[in-house]
Amino acid sequence: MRNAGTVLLLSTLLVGVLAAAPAMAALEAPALITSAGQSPGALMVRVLADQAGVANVYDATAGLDQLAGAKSLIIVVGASMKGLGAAGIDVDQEFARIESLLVEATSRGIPVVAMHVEGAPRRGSTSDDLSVLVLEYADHAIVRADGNEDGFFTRLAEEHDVTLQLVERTAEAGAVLKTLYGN
Amino acid sequence: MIHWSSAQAMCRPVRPHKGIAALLVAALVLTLPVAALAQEVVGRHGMVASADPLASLAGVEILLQGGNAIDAAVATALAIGVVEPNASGIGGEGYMVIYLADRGEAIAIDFRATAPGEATWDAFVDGPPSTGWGAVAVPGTIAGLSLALERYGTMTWEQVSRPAIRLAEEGFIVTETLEGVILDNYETLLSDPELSSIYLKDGLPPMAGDRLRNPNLAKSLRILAEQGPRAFYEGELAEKIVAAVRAGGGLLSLEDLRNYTAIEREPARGFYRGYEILGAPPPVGGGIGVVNALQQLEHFDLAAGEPISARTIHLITQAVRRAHVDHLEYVADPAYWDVPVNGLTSREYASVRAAEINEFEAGPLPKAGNPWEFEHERELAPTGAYLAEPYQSPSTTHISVVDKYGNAVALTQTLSSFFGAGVAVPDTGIILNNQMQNFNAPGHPNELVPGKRPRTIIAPTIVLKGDKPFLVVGSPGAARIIYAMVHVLTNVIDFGMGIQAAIDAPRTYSYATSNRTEIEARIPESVREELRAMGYTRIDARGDYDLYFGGAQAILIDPETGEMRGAADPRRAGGVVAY
Repeated sequence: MRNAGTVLLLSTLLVGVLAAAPAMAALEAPALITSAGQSPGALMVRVLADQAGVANVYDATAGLDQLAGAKSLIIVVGASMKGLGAAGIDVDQEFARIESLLVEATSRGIPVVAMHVEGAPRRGSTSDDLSVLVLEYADHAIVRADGNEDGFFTRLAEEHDVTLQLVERTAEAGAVLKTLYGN
Repeated sequence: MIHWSSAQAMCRPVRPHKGIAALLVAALVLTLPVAALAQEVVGRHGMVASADPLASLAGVEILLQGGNAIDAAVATALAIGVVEPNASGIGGEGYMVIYLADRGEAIAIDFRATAPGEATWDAFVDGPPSTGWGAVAVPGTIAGLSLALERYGTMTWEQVSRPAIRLAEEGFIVTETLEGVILDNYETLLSDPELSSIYLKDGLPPMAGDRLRNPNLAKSLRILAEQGPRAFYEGELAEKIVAAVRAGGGLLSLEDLRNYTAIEREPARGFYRGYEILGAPPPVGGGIGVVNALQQLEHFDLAAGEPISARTIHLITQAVRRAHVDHLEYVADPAYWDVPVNGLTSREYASVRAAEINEFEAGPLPKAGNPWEFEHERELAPTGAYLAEPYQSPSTTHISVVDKYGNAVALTQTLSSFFGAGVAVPDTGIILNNQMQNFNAPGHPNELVPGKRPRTIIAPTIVLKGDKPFLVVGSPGAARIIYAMVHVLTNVIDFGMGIQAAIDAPRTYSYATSNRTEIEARIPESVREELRAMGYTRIDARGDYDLYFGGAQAILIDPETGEMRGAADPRRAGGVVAY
């Protein structure tokens, strides 16, 4: 997946996406960034958002209260049993929290960005189930390409009419965020 | 001909056409991650097994330059701290067992961390923390390695430092294992400026295949190479370490560093079916624990059954559970607490403990025995007074080395938790340990006392057949270490497995103070069912090859021919290099 041809293809795809992005309305900040699965991915996205100048509130276990002042919602998917354990949350509770956030955000017209930035190592049944849930409500999806080698996110994005943007490296997701937020 | 294997790559030979240059080429090839179990490596002149092939290569480089096993072990220990920075490093500590072929002698070198002089239980809120500057104990790695080199090595500190300095300066390729470890510890790394500057790029974790450099650590290693290892404990580096710890609210002082000494000790000794077992003595409990468990198992004919059977797992569990409760009850720093080493390692005591084992039922959880009866000294405290299982981290690393002279080194070193206290000294690349978490509250044999060494259960081990090394082995894994060692040793000695098969075979772990058993998922349901019927009511399966059960690195030597067979653990990104 990391051979030169693939890099070229993905780079072309990314450039194409970035070129196309300004045609869409820019998302508004502040963004509420939360995790779906309690892996470190959400923290990585907070770092990227800060670097991209996207005002944000980061709370890995955010509930509906944290959605109050948010103008967009970024949900970073990645299931980690260690992370869930440290947060004192079980898988069912995590699904319920995320679903309530998604339903509420949709009812308030808050756009949702789904992100999967830890690549292939962070795929797995729980992560995939969370992705299915989040993509159903998402307006945009940003995914590290090695997590989409089987086309999983491509299929979900097509099924739910989500704008999918693939990046070769996690760091490249920052540029996509910057464009999405019109910075 | 150089032979190597990585637990993440298939074995292949590398011919060193251009000496060390060829070794470096091999190093690049070695780090290509391939999902496959490792194969045994065969060598005749020297072999190094460690948790990373680049570190093993560093050791073999030293052997090829004419160094002995001690020189190579020190080089490997310094190098593994660069390429596996989460598990050990010069801000950590450890223990090694050395066998000297020309003298027919074995020595253990204790370079365990000590509590700072100001560290009392009451100096902290509710005891020492497990992370941050307050968790830091006086590091012992540099003192221990330099003591070994000075007394038993043949090369200078500067010579054995070169591979580690090169790896830190030029960098190395991030493996999938290291990528995962950095991801798992991302928040810790992000919150410390020095750690973040080294192990993250623009605040984000590296990906497997990226190159990672540590110029600050290279600079520190160069200072030690130029000024000598004492420079860690006195001088510029010591001042930087103490300034950082004090600024962060920790208790380490310049006097603590200046006063630190590694200690040469008599190894823990025992016998198992004609083999002599040499292990690390207190303040660690691994050597005693392995000997205690094996000598109980001598009373049962393990070879009459299958290695992966309810009977074998039951007998190992019963023996190790007894060894483990004895560890919890009796082991502590011998400078502060009388430890019945002779009793715990006596065969008479083992026979008493073995007689308690019912071959067909788990029975109640065992209580600590009374090894003092076999120590011929007074009994100090009522048995059962100190049973409590501490936090158990798998975050340690082991190195096994054998040279062409027949010398052998088993070296286990650690930062305690992965990335230790989660802090690194600014401008030095030195990650500091969090060994303070391994002390107990006042009134316990392992209570926190200034200057004392906390107990753990690491078990660097050398097995002799006659007067020659037969097996050099060790593992990380906290309390699982004794199980890992007993599984590997019985797989080799009782079941006649090759060393790679012995390491690959499924492992188990049973808690000493609760009836909970954890197993690798490869163990068949039929065996689990039998175990439940024997009284093991709670059995939890983990992964097929789970690092939780340790990451053994081992070298098996044919005493007749001198042929060495090395194996790295597929549960970790280990690598064996030989020539």
